[in-house]
Amino acid sequence: MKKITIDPITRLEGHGKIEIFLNDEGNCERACLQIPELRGFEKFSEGRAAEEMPRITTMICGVCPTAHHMAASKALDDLWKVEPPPAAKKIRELMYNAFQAEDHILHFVFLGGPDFVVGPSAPAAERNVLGVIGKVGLEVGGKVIEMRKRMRNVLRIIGGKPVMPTCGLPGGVSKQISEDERKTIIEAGEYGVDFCQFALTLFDDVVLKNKEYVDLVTGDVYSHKTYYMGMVDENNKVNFYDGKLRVVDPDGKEFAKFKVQDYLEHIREHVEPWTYVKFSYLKKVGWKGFVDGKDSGVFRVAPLARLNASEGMATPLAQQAYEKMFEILGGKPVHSTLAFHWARLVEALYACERVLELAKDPEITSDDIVTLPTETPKEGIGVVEAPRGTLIHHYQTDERGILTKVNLIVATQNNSAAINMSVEKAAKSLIKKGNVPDGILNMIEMAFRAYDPCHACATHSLPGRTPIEVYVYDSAGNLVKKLER
Amino acid sequence: MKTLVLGVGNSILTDDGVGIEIARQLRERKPELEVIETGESGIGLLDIIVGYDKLIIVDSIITEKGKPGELYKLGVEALKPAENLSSSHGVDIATAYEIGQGLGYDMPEHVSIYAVEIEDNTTFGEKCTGEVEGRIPFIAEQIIKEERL
Repeated sequence: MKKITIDPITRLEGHGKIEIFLNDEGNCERACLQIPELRGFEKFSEGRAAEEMPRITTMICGVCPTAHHMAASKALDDLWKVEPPPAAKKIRELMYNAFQAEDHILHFVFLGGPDFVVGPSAPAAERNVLGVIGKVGLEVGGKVIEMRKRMRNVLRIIGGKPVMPTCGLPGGVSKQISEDERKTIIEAGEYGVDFCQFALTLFDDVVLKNKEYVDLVTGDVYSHKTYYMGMVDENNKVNFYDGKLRVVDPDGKEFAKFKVQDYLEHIREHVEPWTYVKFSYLKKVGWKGFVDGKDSGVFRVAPLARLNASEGMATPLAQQAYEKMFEILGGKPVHSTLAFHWARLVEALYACERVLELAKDPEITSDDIVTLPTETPKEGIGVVEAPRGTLIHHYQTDERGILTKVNLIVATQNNSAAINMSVEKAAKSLIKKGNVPDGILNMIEMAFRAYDPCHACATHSLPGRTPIEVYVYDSAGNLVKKLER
Repeated sequence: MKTLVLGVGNSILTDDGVGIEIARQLRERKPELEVIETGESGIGLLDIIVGYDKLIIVDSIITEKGKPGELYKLGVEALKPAENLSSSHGVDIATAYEIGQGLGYDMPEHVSIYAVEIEDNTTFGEKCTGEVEGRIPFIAEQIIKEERL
């Protein structure tokens, strides 16, 4: 047996790779981002029974199993043209919001936190989750873990398992909620609301009172004037579980509002020769390359995009937080990518308030939780707002319900053009006359963390993270610098 | 000593599932062992590993020059990131372990990590690739010997 020490860690494979091409003046001309992608899911699914999809798709993403479970369950509703009873919809939405709250808080504190809480100019060695705990105190770290534990307990109560739920059926859910369970869920919701309010105060104290950080959030480096898409309810308020997809233009004006079943009329996928990642764009505007503005079909999804694409939050405390964010950042829409972190906290508060609302709903313990399908299946489309943006599942089957075609549009694909643009913009702002500062890695990572893109995250191989390598080429195509962690 | 064997991986991503397969073999050969198969990573592992004295993790790895099926033994410190998180949306095992310690959890005192060199963890499939698959029984045996299970 070989005993090895992996240092530097970059000897491992499975990197994200960024290639930067300089022009004759030594300035950045173009940047291309490549992230490891999983392959062959469509083929893997074809020939299986469609009812398996809510369970199988939980295994294709390391952080969003509940989002896939829910999108798949909704696609099955549509496949069998069956409407779940009201209680089943509420149970699903409750579970989904518990998941969203947990994921958002974990992201904010442990992943965004190093940039926000520790500070963008802190030494790299301190800009990690332990630095965050060092700054906010052990007690707060413990609270995050506690909130996560409670929300995961809600997922376990409803979904059967905390990580990979099994409760979604075509037409409803498999298990009702008992009175005792309702009490536990209410307590979790209350804890979550308190914690999110505390997190927003922390954000006020640590981030908004730090001029350097505010300048970075509102500055130009991470700003893109794009379209935004997100799901809204009948009052145009943010909804993660159900509703129509609404798109606003770079001025914040409604551009489209449609049922997910019509997504192909609105969303198209652009392919580039240098990556397997597809780039979603608005069909009615068209693909004009990696550029922003009203004439470019590039749009963004995920927390900030959802807040931009909506007219508010459906719960009172989150609505206050929403109004405050837009007031401080100069009105809607906000184009700064780093504001995704703030929007994530506003959404986490909404998710916890919604958990509480739904848990207190008299109907939530009803035993009328499934409508049995009677139609012959053919085609079904389901959508949810995953933490990282709009997630669409589209299935076609034969008359027995055996899958013949599967298409998934995942959140990161919707953001992929913008992620590339953010990387390029950071490179353009920092690389001048052939001088490539080491700090560029950091700037790129900050853009990354704001979007939190999916990159083969269902892979569990060690070390459990995806380092980024940056390659810089001069105008003649020679490699002039390689940066890595 | 309370010992936990943790098989980590995704059983529908070809070789990524090797840790799970090996854990299953260990359970078969040593039924008295406490063995958990998991698709959890990072912070999620804290829910599982707290309260044990000894933790044996079996996972996969891809190194630059490794040959599929080779087995490595690592300590948790070998997986510590050189600097910060490098934009992954999960924290790694080493960081999760450190967080657990920092928060005063009852973390396992002894941690051995076994990593199997693999070929493919990005294609969907329920079976490991040939070289890796063929080595699973031998690797399980090696771990039993090394850990005196």
